[in-house]
Amino acid sequence: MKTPEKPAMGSRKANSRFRAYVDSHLDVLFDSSSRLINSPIASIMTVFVISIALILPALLQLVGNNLSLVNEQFEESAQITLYLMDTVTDDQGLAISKDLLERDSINQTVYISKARALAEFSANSEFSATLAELGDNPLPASIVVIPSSASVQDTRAMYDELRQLVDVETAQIDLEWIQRLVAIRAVVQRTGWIFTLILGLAVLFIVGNTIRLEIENRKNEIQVIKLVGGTDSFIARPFLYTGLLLGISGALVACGLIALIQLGFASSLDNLLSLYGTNFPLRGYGMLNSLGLVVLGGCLGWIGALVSTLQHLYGLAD
Amino acid sequence: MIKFDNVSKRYADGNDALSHVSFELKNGEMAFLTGRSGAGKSTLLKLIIRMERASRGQVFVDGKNLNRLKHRQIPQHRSKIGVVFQDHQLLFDRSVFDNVALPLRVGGYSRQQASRRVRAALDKVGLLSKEKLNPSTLSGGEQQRIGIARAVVNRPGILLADEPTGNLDPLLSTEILKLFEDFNQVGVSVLVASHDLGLIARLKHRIITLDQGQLVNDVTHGGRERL
Ligand SMILES: Nc1ncnc2c1ncn2[C@@H]1O[C@H](COP(=O)(O)OP(=O)(O)OP(=O)(O)O)[C@@H](O)[C@H]1O
Ligand SMILES: [Mg+2]
Repeated sequence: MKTPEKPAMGSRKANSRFRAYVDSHLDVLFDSSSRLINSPIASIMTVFVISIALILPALLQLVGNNLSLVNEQFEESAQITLYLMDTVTDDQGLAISKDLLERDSINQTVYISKARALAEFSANSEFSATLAELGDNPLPASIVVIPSSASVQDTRAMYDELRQLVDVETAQIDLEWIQRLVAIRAVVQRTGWIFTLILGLAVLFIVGNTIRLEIENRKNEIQVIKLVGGTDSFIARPFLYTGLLLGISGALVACGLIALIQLGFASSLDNLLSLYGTNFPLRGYGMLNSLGLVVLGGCLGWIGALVSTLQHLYGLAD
Repeated sequence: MIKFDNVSKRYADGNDALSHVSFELKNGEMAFLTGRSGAGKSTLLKLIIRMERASRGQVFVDGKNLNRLKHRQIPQHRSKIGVVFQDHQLLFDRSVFDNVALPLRVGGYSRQQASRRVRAALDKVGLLSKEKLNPSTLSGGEQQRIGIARAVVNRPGILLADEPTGNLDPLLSTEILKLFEDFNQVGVSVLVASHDLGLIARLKHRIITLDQGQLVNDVTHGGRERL
């Protein structure tokens, strides 16, 4: 019995069979794209909805990343200020400061005498006149300790130890808000993951539903293809490409919108940061994340289409 | 090549379309299937391509029992058989060319690679000049010929045709049947369902007759009955 010849079988090279494979896929890709383009309103709406579903987790990720950056910045600058007893002289203070510097766990110490504290305070304060009227200098001498370790826990342990020193009246640590920041970041990141999960499912659902309608509309075509010997995978292929294209387009639109949002917020965020006396470049969403989002969108679109075809295609008659 | 062994087909609504049909079509043989409207001709052809399943008995194609055919084996089975459908089964959202190219596309050809064979098939049915048109703009007879081109484009080992000349004038009908005979000459097994008794009688081939789902007559040319 004669079986239908396959293209490029037999004596011809595997190369040309691969060529045929690629060509036939490109044909399907082209068909799927032109179908999407030929019903622009429906396609644009689907793509837009997908992009909205992708934007939210992406923005949370962006915020989370920048919070991490802020954290790093401030963990490095975490410092402990030891306010010395009034009875401690400048010489003694300097000696304590030097002693502390001997420790490996301490990176740097700065001794601030009463006089210097007053000078700095006066320079920065509107109350300098009032202070001068007081006559006696009310400000204590202090030692600023900068730990070697950037970890919050280590710094806190050191703080607990140093405040016990005999010559130390009180100690202050600037950790509270860093820890708050860490907690906020954790919440933001966790929320990001949850949103990614939920909205990822939403994308699956949106694409799946679009594909379901598409299958419904093309039932007759599917039947004819089956009659001329089309395999399930051949029949599914255009729908999978449609899902892939929808997902990728949605992600691309999302990237564009994120860029716009960044532009809109950049100047006000810079202002905010400068109020806090910090000045470091904000991390944008970037090429790598955008690429990741496009890959994610493509995967979600493809999987949504796959689930839908498995569900609706194979229910049809043989 | 095709063997029916005591085959009955009852549709879900209780219609008995075929009862106890047995016959064999040898490799390279050509036969006509005839009978009145509703006799079960289309049903018989549908059983061969596994569009329908036999309710009783067995259908063998190329030695394979179709009752045992798994879902995923059906496409391979169908790709060996070219079919001209009574209701054409064309796609009206694409060109004549793309309709005819479909069996090749399904077999892994790109549009480009399929084009030579598609044009050859369209040429055989006299539609080469209409390849870019949409089938819906063509006449009934032209649509039928698109179906014929599609059935032969893949050079199948078996050719089934359900009323392929129903919408054709006598001259075209003769030409199309001549085309089927040409295929038969090069070894293709051909089974054609038709009520056009005059046309069938002129060509000297085996004639299988159905009546109300029963095989009532089976004659080879020369009048020798097979029953
Ligand atoms: N899908 C179906 N469901 C129920 N009954 C059917 C179905 N298809 C056909 N039948 C019935 O089976 C019988 C045989 O039909 P079939 O289409 O095989 O006849 P036919 O010989 O091809 O007729 P025609 O020459 O008019 O095409 C008819 O009585 C018909 O009503
Ligand atoms: Mg019929």
